[in-house]
Amino acid sequence: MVYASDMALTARDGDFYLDDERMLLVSGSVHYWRLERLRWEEILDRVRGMGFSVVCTYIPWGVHEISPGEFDFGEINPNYDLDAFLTLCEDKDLRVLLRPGPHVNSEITYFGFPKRVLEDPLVQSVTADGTPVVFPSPPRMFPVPSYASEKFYQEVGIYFDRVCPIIRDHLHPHGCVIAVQADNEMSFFLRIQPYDHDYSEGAILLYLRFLNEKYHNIEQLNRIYGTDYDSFDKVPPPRDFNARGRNDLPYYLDWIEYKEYYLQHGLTRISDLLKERGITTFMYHNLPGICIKPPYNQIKMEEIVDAVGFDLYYYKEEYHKVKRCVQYLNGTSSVPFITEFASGFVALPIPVKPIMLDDAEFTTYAALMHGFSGINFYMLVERERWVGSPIDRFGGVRKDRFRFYQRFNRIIKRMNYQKMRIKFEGILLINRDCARLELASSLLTPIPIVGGITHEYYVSEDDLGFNDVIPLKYGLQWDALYYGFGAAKYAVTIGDTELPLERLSEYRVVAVPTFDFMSRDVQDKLINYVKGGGCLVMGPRVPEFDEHIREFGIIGEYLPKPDGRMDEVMVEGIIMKDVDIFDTGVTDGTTDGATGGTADTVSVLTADPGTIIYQQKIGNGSIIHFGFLFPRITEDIPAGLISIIDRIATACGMRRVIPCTDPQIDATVHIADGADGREILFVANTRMDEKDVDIGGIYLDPDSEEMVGPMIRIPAYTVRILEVASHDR
Amino acid sequence: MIGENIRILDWSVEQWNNLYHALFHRGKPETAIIIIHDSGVPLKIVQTGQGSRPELKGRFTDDRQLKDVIKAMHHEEGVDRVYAISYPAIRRIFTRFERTVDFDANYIKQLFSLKDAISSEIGTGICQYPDGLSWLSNLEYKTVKKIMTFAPDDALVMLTIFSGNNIWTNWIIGIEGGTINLITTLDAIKPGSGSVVDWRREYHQIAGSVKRHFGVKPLAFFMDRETFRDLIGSSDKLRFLRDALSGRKIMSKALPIKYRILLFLQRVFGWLSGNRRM
Repeated sequence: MVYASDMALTARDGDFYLDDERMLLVSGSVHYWRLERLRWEEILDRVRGMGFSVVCTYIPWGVHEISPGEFDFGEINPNYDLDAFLTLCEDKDLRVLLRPGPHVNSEITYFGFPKRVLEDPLVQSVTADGTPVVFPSPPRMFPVPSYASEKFYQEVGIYFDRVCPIIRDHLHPHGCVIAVQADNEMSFFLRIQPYDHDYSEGAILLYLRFLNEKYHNIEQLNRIYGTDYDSFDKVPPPRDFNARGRNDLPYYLDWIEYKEYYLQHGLTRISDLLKERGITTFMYHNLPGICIKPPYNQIKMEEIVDAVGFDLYYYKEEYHKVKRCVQYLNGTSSVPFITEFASGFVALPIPVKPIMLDDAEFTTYAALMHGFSGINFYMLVERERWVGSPIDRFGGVRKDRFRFYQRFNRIIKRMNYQKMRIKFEGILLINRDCARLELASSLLTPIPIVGGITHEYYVSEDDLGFNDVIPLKYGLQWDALYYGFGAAKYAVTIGDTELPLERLSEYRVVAVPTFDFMSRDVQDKLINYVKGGGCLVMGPRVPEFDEHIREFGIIGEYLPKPDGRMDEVMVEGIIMKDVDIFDTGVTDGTTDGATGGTADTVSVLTADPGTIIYQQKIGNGSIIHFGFLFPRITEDIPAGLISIIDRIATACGMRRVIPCTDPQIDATVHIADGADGREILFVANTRMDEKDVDIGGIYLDPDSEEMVGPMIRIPAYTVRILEVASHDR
Repeated sequence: MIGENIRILDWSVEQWNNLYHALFHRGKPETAIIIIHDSGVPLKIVQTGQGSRPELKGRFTDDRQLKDVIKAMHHEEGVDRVYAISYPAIRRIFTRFERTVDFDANYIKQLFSLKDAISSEIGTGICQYPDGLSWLSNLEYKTVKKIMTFAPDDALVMLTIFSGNNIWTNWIIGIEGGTINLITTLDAIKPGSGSVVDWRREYHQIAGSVKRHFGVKPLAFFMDRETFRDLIGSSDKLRFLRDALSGRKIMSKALPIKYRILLFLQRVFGWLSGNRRM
């Protein structure tokens, strides 16, 4: 059957458009089946009273299914009448984002899957040791399903056969539904350790299919792996990290790439099941939290659905987690959408601190300052197993919270936020090759990577024949650049080496930690970026190998080799390790052999005994290479790091957003499109001490309607929003 | 135990935050060094708050026992605890847990499957200095189950803690057929209700409002924050509870008659032996 496609909601140039009108998508979650039907109307009126015109709800399979193939959509329990709820939303002129699952979580026992489906061994995911995979959530642990199981998709199909007609009846233009989410938080159920699961029969077949698609013939794979398999089905999936040297790595790196492929496969299957049943509206997906590294590949997932966002649940002390998530979406997504943002908290008997109103007050504006096009507050209305929302399940308001969201909606409307665009000069890339190696080398399988567990806790510390222990050092170098650019107040967002050249070319500066190996296509992309006029900041090492650990170092052809290496060098009060020293004698402008371009090498930073950061002109752009390992840098950023970053930024031609370099303070600038020309400055105090901040000019405080600056006072955990009046001091 | 479809709703998030901090946020966070090893060869050494500590690998030599190394490390590095976890043991724990967990059992029993899997490695795959995990090995599901059998069936149990005359935290637990099937608070009755004039006089009314709403008289305990703090910190909680009830630092409603008689007798004997406060 062919269904007409008429998408109300679309994404273009980083923005949402509703019926071709640019909009900021601001919605909030309401769970119809957990509320008394008689209270729906009053509750939706309250939601409107806060300024929301879009609501979002799951459709829980396991709640609606009475028995296999039999469902209750209001025939028995009136609260389950999805059709009536959507009709009511239409009466109230509310738009709806629908999330039919099959996975919905929402603290439902068994996460919304019918118990009988999870009990089916043909559906279950399997660990490397042949056991079911347990998700330990109260009130009942359960075995998780495999997204490579055909039986699983058959069951989902039966459920979708029943629910999709209801959704279709309410699709725009004749109904309120403007978007549908395919599945939910596809993440191996947070058990992302590489050798944990899924080793079910279907998953292994999928792995072999992945290898076939990648290599096309077994001879090619054998060449890369150094093996002699007769066929793809003889290739065993890795069940632990046993690499002894770098030549063993392609097998493990492919396994991590396959884990990304597995999630993409699951998303494809679910979205196809929906599309086959006439759900031809804007489709999206949500990932749980900071999903900027493998096994998540948000960029590839956005080739399957229209947008992939992140779900954010953070305390006020976790500012940098909010920043990283929103910046990554800004840097990579077709339309940065925060698919869930904390409003209230899960109510379960678990020893986890609840997210309070003061957390939400700060983190909501922290997200706003880093720029999004859509946000869905989870949840606006309390229900079973969720508390602390602005509306309780009886329709009553929790005044402080209610007022907070009213004010938030007023502020974004007043500033015309959807017309603003955040300004970035640079982008710091996740190096996907290194991130894959980081995960591949895990020694802690199957302990979930949650809470305070960082890569330092689980990666191998074997250098594998490289210059550095890449799995350990890569993350530390990335953190140093992230915190350094941030504290020095340069407008740098976050992206991924997976991004196409066109996206990179939007930025004056691209920064990425680099080590001995890097994919061929990424090396090519980066050198073309530079030749096109960009400034690439890279280090500590120049790639010599490609993703197959075959010799390939196109970037290195343009750069000088180090003259020597020091174990450590003190620079600006910081001890740098494994420092390459370069001789940057000024050349006479002679042509270099590789490209015919001019070879000018200028020192950016010297230390005893030589240059440790240099700038190499290549084509219309340049590469700034730092040849050392930064130490471990956290939120307490040493002044010396800021000084080093300043050197790099000056060489790139970057300017600070505000003069203040206090690492506790952060700032972004948003500029209105077109002739409007308005500029809005967001300044955040990310810690518990009040601060006086030099913002570098005179601004209008729209709250007090007073002119303020250049020094302003910012209370703890507060974001101040100011409109530019003058940059004169 | 905990019901499969337990209803958890109408919590005051502020009161929950108070309870969380009272139970889990006492004192300074513990510092630790965690060693992942394979047959005594260190693969990783991590210190909480500091990250990887590869330089500590040099402490491991052929002529030193693992237990001696971690003991020495504890003294030399000034951390609260040192853990040595065998890399294969991590896998064994999960495999054992996932092979034995009963998906139809209640959550407490499921947690004990995990506990048993961890306990099986204590002293071998998991070493700790100073020792502190033996209690885990000694804790048995049947003990917890026995404790739960003392809980009144088809009942409500309520705990209310005051800060001054404001309700600092309040919890209502519903038990049916030996299973907890409800966790809620006074918000279910009157959202936002938070204070009284004199709780020692009005606790009857609070219990009464719960009875009217739920149709069941709750077994209720009322105390102030300081008493709750002392109860949590007590090494003999049952004795503390008994003494606090006897001394009326904790007020109760609907305590079964046999316990009321015992408390009364305790007060009488206390008075007779010279402690005149009744």
